[in-house]
Amino acid sequence: MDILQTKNLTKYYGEEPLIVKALDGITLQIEQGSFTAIVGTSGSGKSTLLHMLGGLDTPTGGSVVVDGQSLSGMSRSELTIFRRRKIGFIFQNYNLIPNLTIYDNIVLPVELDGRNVDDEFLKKIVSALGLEDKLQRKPNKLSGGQQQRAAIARALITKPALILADEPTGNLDSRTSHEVVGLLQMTGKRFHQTIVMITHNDEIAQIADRTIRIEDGRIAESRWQG
Amino acid sequence: MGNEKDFSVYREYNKETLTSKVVMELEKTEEILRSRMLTSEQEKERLQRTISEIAHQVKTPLSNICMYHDMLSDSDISKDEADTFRRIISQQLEKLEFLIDSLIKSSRLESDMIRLNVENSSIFHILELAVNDIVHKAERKKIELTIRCDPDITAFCDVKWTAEAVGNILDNAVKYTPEGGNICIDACPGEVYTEIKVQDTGRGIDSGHYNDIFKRFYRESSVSKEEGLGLGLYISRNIITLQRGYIMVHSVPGRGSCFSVFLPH
Repeated sequence: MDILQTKNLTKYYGEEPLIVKALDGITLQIEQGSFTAIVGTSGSGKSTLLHMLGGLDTPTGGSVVVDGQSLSGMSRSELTIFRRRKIGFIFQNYNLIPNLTIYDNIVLPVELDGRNVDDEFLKKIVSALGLEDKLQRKPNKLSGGQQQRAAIARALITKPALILADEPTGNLDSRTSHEVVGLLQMTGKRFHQTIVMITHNDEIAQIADRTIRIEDGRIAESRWQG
Repeated sequence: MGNEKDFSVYREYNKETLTSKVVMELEKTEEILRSRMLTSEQEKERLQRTISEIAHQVKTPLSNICMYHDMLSDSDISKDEADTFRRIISQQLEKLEFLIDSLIKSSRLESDMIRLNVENSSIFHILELAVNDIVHKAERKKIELTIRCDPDITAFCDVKWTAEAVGNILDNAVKYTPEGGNICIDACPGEVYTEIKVQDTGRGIDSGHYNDIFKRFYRESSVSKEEGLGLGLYISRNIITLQRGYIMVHSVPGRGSCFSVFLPH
């Protein structure tokens, strides 16, 4: 089943003849439970694409449908709630809130939605990510890899329809990158999550089920692996 | 009419109301059930594909055996010819035996018939076991083996099966590294995983095939003269994944490959 579909997605800046086509007609389907890596050089449009998928930016044309709902029909406040419930984000710079503990950071999206934290689920996630003894610490007391693991936990806790990861290993050394992306893959499979990850690093991409290569705002290649 | 109704339900989705939250939870349950059904259908498909792949693999040696067996019963053949045919038959039988052994291993792994005895294990001990099986083959090809592993390094895994997984990787390294080459094994602990790195100076793998090499019965067309079935790495990956680890490859064609096995510690 496809959890995410885009149809002829475009994002243009400026006007003819000086038009910049950041995205130039992207049509893709993402299957539920799959791990997709979107690769491309900087400026290829991959980040713009991820922002569109997450409703963080509005396209010039085309549509994005996540879990049966079209993002284009939503008001700002609807989009906010939709993102909170349906999409987990993982960023390059972790985006943890510095004055909250790791525990509070992880449960934040559930609490923002006024729901109760599923303690058992939380325990499973935290142990899968090896964060048991870090929960009461503040983010700045953790290494980069540990902070990113906390961010993965925060993305998983809402059991979202889709996890979007934007260069999750961009700030990490190569060894830690391999660990973080391995954990992302492992927890994704274990908790049946759909993950779309952006990276410029081909080596990191090999861990995904599928690789989509973006060049000049278009899909240059799409292949399944394993 | 239908569309209008769908639209009004959709309008309720992204509100801060209790109904919206309940609908969302119900939807999640529905999704889980649907995805389970889909998984079981995919499993069935996979099973059918597997059976046809296996049948294909068994058929070639079997028809060879049949053919040479028939030729043996011909009274006109010389003694030399008969010996040749017998040798071919015994080679093919060995191949079949090896195939069946590997298949039993991989099917037992897949059907969870094996209880992996996952415990805090010494990586050094695992490497010892794995290297034992290839050390003679490596000597014969004058390949230099280097092992760098601190005796304190551990990971949560089954000793015997992990040794098998690493052994398969080493076996390939020996197979595809030319005479006089090097194979280097390193173990290093990280934040979450212990990494076992096997680096060779072999023929290497094109980055486009990084994932293919782990597929069952996959063999690169350029290596078809080397013995093998394409089950070794497939089994390795299964063993490592079952233990919540993973394998990554990095290779420069013509210069060598590096396999990294990551196991939680």
